[in-house]
Amino acid sequence: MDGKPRTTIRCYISPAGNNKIAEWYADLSVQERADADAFIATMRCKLKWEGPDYRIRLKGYKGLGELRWYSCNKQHRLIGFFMGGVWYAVMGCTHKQQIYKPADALDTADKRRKEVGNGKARTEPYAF
Amino acid sequence: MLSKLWKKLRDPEYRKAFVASQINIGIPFQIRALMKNREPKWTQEDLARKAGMLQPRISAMLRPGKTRPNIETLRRIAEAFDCGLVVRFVPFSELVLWSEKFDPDSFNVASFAEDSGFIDQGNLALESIVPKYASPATEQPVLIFRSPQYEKQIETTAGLPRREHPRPTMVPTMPRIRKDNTFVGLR
Repeated sequence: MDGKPRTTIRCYISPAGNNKIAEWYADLSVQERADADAFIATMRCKLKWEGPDYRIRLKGYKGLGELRWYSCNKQHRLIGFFMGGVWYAVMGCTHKQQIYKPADALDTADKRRKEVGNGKARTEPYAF
Repeated sequence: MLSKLWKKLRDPEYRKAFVASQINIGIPFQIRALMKNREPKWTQEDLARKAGMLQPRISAMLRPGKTRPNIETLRRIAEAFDCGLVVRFVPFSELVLWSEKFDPDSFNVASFAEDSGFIDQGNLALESIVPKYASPATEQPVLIFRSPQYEKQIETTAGLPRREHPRPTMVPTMPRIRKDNTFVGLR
């Protein structure tokens, strides 16, 4: 890994000033956190994000993509988008049998994507 | 990021989880990198056939966190790739360094046939020396490394007909093994 660039990840900050990705991370169990750390650290090293770890073109939500991994028998998703070579994480959730939890995860993610895109929402580096 | 990880590792629960995550999340990335770097690139069916497993199981194993591979499964995967497998206990500092240095894009492990450690020092010997000094009917040569003294002796015998080859006095890497795999000793 020495000298190789890593993908920069930034987190969505709500208008109230809450880091929504940090909140998602804090709600995970210890094992889920360790798995998320290992998975995201490995993905940051990869030059090309592709399946099965990353899915782009989420149905009906152009521009959004999701990181996908399993932990503690659950499918975990971190939804975000690329802009200017930076990946913006906007929503963390789980997925089971085609259903996201929370159920409005994609709608919320799309709303947040637009907020980040038009500069209405702040972002912070992913640093946990 | 490393300092954050050190801070997290102070928590014993996180340490336990970290070890598990290096296996459950890290192994699928390693296997996929190995498949990608084989010529031609291996499919899941290829790996399944070589490892004696079913393709759906391979598919699950390639998904980070989906399965918890045990040592026997990993041994079979290593056998399929014709490479070694190291399972050993290490201090956390070593595990952290390994995880920090791991790059899924460049990770590769050569098969035995392409192992430069053997190509440089061993294959030549297997092809040209073993028939001269090992009796195929009774012994199987196992070559690991050759000593400089042995190399020198081989050089001096290169132009001689087979019968005139002097037997090397020091051949630490030519164990005498009978057909039934009984170790007899070193030549």
